[in-house]
Amino acid sequence: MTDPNKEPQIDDMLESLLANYTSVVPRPGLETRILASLQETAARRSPWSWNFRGLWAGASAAAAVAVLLFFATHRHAGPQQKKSVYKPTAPATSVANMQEHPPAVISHPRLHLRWQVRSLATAANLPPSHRPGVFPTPVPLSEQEKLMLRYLSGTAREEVIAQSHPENAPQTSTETQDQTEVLPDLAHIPQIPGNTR
Amino acid sequence: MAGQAILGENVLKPAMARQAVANTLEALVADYAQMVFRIAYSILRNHHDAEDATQECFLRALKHQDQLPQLRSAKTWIARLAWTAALDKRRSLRPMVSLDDEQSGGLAIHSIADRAAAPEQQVAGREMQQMLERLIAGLPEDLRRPLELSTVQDLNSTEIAEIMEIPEGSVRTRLFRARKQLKDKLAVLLKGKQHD
Repeated sequence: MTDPNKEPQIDDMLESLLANYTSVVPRPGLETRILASLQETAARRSPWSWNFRGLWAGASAAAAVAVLLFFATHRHAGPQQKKSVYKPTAPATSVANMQEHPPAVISHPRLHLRWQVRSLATAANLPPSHRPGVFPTPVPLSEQEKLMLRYLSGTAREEVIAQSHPENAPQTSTETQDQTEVLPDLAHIPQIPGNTR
Repeated sequence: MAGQAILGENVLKPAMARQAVANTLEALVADYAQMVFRIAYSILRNHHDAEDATQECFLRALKHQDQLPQLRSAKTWIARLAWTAALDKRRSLRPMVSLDDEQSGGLAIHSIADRAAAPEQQVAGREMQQMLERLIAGLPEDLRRPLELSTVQDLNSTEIAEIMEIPEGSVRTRLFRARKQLKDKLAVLLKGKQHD
């Protein structure tokens, strides 16, 4: 217990001591150091990290949707697809033939449509045992190829050759004569068998 | 128009929000850095550790910047961050903490009273401060914590209650009990000195 006479004195002393307990001044530049450290931390936590989070979320959502779609479509057509095993009917099967005459085992109309769509795209990716007998795998002609064929059928052969080799265009008879004069006659040079030079 | 709207939504608004948060944090540092330092110092009693805790406090503010717009009182929020950061720092430190800041290599405690006092008075004042620190360190934790916060002159009992998340009445009761215990111990010590 404190002495009642000295109590006000001790009170004052305690108040004074407590008042000075945290009357401290930090080192100069504290605010600058704090701001620098905040800027450094904020720079490290760049906004890209948030963008990547969004990217990851979007990618995972897309993957989940893709997986769901895959299972939905394959569960629906799964047992019927087992029947549609590809069997080449003839060695000279072409994609055009396959499109016209799909294998008999494909009976379902939806599968028939899918077969028509897929036949062209998958022909090149089939395993060797399942590939058609014709190589390269025939595909429908493009517009450019069709134009080229039309042009070739309506043009003389010499003209086509001349256009395809403009530097070796057919020469006139006089030029041919001049060349024969310039070239030496090689008929009299004896040919030694085994001489490869 | 749609492009401008998308640009505004995706680029300008977040950029403005980031700028606003940066401005707010800068304002918080300007307004409360000293208070945060004093809160940390009242608990850690060391300049270097108090500065570390101050930096940690503002880093936590940056981390929880999304709470800034909904705050009722930024001062209490930052004071609580400072208090928890200082307590975490004290837990991470060794149990033995030097009470003499000069011996630990830090700067001197520049108390306001010390600056104007004579050398003998300064020495006596420091002795008394060290004695008080020892007395406060000997208090039970539930009394010591509100007392430490009450020595930070920027905080009143309502704010201390918000910082400690206890009722204001409890803060007042604990402060009264803490001062009573300190007074009794101080009286005994002074009596002993007079006898010596």
